[in-house]
Amino acid sequence: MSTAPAEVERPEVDVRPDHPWVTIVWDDPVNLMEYVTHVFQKLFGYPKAKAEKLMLQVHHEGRAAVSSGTREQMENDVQRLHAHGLWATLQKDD
Amino acid sequence: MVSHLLGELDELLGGAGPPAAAPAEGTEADDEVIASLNWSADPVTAPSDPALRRLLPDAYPGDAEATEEFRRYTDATLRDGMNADLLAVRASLLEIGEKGQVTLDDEQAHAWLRVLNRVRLVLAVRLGIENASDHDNLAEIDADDPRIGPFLLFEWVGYLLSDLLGAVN
Repeated sequence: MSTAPAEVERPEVDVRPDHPWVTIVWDDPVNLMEYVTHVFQKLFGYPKAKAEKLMLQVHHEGRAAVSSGTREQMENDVQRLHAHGLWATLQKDD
Repeated sequence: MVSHLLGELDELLGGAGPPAAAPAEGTEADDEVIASLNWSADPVTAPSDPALRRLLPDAYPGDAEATEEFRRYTDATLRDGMNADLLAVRASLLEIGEKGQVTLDDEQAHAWLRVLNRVRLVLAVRLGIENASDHDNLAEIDADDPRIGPFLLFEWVGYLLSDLLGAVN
């Protein structure tokens, strides 16, 4: 049995540059609410009211989309959130 | 006490880490670019220690391949950042030791915030705090329960973090 050329086995990459991705922050029982609000303000430049609203959404609904953009931008946001101890993931916007 | 906690965090970061990012074969210019990206040519798997895994969680739920790729690009930078935070906090502790007090600039204060938060995350994993009721149950344990020490520490670091946040804002 012959193997397929390597490039055929590569995963499909979404090349649409405008395809929106989202960064999701998940609820956890440890991070202080005021700390999460502070991190949203610091990393995304959100006003306190918006940061608090997102924090409460995470707390009550278990998750919230905190930013959107290209995949690269969202990977950067997830990395910065991990650097601050938040549980963050990224996915294509539904 | 803070110094002891930092030692444990340091051990966690150093003790369970993957090998340092290895430069890929290529031209000197390629090597420079790769070094500047802090990118690992070798696969970077999720940390086996659940506490370290909480600090370096999966970026793509349900997609092991994308998660592994994300780790290759971010793991070393995230670990470097955590170590730099520890160094900054240690330096200000030394200054407190010498002068009796320290004034933190914004960057130093944020290193403290991140480190205190990480200490809580690690203690929570060790204590098995996975939801709000786990925390409430721990608040009810007896004084002779072996978890009482780590739990009181967890609460105390929370007060420190809250105080520091109040000062920063």
